[in-house]
Amino acid sequence: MVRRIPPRRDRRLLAPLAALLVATVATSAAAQLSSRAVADAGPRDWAITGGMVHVGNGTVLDQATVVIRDGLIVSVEAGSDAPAGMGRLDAAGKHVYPGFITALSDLGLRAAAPQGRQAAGPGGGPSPPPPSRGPEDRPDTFSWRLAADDLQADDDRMAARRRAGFTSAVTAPRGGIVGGRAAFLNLAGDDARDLVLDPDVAVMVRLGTRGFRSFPGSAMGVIAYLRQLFMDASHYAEVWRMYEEDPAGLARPRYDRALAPLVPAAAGEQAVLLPAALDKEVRRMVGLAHEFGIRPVLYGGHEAGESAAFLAAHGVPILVNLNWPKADPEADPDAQVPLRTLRLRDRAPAGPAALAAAGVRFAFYMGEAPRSGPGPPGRRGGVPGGRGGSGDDLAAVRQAVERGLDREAALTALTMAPAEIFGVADRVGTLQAGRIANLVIADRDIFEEDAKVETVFVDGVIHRVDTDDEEETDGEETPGHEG
Amino acid sequence: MRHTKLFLAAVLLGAPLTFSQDTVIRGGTVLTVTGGTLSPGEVLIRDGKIAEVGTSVTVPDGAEVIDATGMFVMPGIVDAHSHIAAESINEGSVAVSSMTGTGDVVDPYDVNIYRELAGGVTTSNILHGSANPIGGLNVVIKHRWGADAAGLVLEGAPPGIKFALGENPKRSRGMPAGVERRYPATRMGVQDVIRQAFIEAEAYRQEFADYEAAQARGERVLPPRRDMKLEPLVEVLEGTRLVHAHCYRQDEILQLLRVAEEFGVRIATLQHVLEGYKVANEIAAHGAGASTFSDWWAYKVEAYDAIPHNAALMTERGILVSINSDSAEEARHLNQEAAKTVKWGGMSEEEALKMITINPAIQLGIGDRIGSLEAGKDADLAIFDRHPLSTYAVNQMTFVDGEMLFSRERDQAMRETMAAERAELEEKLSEADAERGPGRRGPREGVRR
Repeated sequence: MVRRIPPRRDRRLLAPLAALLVATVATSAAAQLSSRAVADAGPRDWAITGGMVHVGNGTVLDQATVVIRDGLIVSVEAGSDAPAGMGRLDAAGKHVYPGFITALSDLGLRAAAPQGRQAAGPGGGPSPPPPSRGPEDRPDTFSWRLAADDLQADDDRMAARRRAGFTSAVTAPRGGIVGGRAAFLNLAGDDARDLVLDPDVAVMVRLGTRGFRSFPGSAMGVIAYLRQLFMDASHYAEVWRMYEEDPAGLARPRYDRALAPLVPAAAGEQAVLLPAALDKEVRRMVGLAHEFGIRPVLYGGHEAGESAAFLAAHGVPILVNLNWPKADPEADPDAQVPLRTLRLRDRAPAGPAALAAAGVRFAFYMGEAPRSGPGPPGRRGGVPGGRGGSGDDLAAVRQAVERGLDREAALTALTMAPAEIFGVADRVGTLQAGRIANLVIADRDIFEEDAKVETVFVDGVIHRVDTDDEEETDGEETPGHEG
Repeated sequence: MRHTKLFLAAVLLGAPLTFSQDTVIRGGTVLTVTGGTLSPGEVLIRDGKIAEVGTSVTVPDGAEVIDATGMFVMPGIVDAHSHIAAESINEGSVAVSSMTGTGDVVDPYDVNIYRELAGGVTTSNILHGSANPIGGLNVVIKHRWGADAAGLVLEGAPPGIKFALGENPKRSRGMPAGVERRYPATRMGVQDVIRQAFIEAEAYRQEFADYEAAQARGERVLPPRRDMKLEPLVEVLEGTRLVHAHCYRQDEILQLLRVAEEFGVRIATLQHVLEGYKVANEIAAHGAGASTFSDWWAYKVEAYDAIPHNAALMTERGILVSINSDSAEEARHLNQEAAKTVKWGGMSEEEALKMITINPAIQLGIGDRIGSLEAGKDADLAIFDRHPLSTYAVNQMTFVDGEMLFSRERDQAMRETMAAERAELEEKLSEADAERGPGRRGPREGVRR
């Protein structure tokens, strides 16, 4: 029997298999490439010796050595012993961290967001449809889209992020109410396919509207739409389940490309990214997620101080937008800024400390500047987009540290927490044997004001950061090669 | 269950809960609205409820006693038509937007919740707008300023829905040139949309009934798709959801009543209903309530025949009438709006007060809980320094669920602390801005609008 809607569980089982298959093919290709790479670009295997190694799970090993082979971490042990036959990087006096993860971005995406009032009908073709007249038109819904399918390996912004110590990112499709599904990727590779760790980690939701004429044209319309959409996806799963069990005597259910990919999310098996910049939005989104039976990962979190206890009580993780609220340059200079807005601007960087104290799982990302005051609430979510600043994320994290965030908690939010939130902690997020060799080496504690990222490893490949001109050189030097 | 949730929400928010403290208000005139005027009268508040009302109530040990000598104690004002505390109120893209609801977008930050407390309002019916013949679902809130959205919602209030007739749903105003007009464009069309929606809802109900019957027979059938547009309309057909219908003219009022009667539906309230006095007998016979303005007229063509005697004339014909605000400003002096029915319509003071308390409460299906000062009801009340129907009356204190959420005295003190906080924050933030400077340390690059 042909499976018409492969359930998530099966796909999850298949994914590693597929990955293995891809990996096998890739390895043989890489084997040919790597001999050339070693000849041209230095060693592929490294021992990083004598550094202060922050494992990422709370453990810190002073004067320890990290051994990398074939893109994976082989060992993390005290001492400076390095196996022979590999590159040696002296990290004495330096700090070694798991590669940082930006938990929501559009890195690697170049293609423009879907334009216009695009209402993709069930299984519909490309002809531009009229304004949406209800949930059945599936307005601004692109749930079948995978960010992983639109990646470009030569996005310059990835190199900028690497220079700041970021080795991985979650990239969500742009646009739409349901933009599609986000990918977890490593920020270096020759080919877009090399980037992807997991092509399908979460469903991306925004609360944008397109004005009065096309449904949904209001904040409550968007919510009503999502309610119907997830309800429809559950119904879709149910009728197809029954039909596949035994089609005899049953009316054939209709195929719907918007619903089929949402079945795992509607069953609570896949995370759904929901915008929530303000505390009231946090509570609203958690309430709706509970009602819809979906598993929320919130993004925004600028009133996290107010939301911390609530999030902890509900066990909901949140991605905190590091683009702290600032004075609106377009605001009327004579208008009095509401006290609530002033409080928001003052308190936002103190939010992560409150989250950590409450035991909430949180990570960081750099989003759009959220808007306060009037305007569509959808804009307040602080969706990712635009050019991510290279050093900006860490400067903003340092502000959170100044406002009471424990450094270890800050590091967790940059490493292990996002890996756990998106289900890839078995591969990245900590410096442990067997994990992917994503590392950052800084000249001092990364949360010190003047800390500089010197070297970044992505998938075991060295990327040196030249701090003078902020250019990085990809493994072209062969220092300390004691082969 | 709802209570537990509310309690949890309030605790998580750190909202003050003062259910343990007994409060006695004494020395003033108590306008019970349903049980006459007690002068002097006393009210005992316990656990958020009115425990006793009378000329002399029990004063428990440790009770907080509020001296209301010379003042007037009345039930908290109920506004049957409000659009505050909602982040959006119109889903105008479709003629039937019953899948939406203001309950999904309650905005606990809206300062109007507090400002209206200052005018003695304690309960508001947050309606969808009037952009479509069948609008979205409403939510009834208590003005529990400081609570989160879930905490504002009046637990147990019957669900409702907005309908709208006349110029707004047919879009005869304000449509820019070149914009395609959405059906309907006439009052006939409005009637048609409503009738059609009821027919669809009947078919939908039948579809589920058939499914359940087939299941009961042990047949293997696919479940029908749930439709969140039609489910509220099924509730309307079954009489479990209140219809609040925006209307002006006599003809459209009769159109709606007749369509509703075709389907066995009773309209709960006609909102605005400015020509209600012309068809008062028909409205009374249908059993609809009327919620109107005191004396607004001629602000658009369909409001030309409005008269300030409307509320009184409808009351005279046996209609339950309330005076509403439809405005965050008007809501702050609904007591004065009610007073106009005394001036124009010769209503008694008690009848006038009922129009902003027990009458709207009954219309919203919560008359057994709020709207008058009676033992067992929620301790929602306002204390005015003069008779609330006086132009000079100023509200001094407002209680919601027994908790004083507004007092003029405290408000004055709060203004000072807030001004100090503002000054401190402005200084701190401008220093931070100066230190960071444009484009240096601040993460500006990520911004894209």
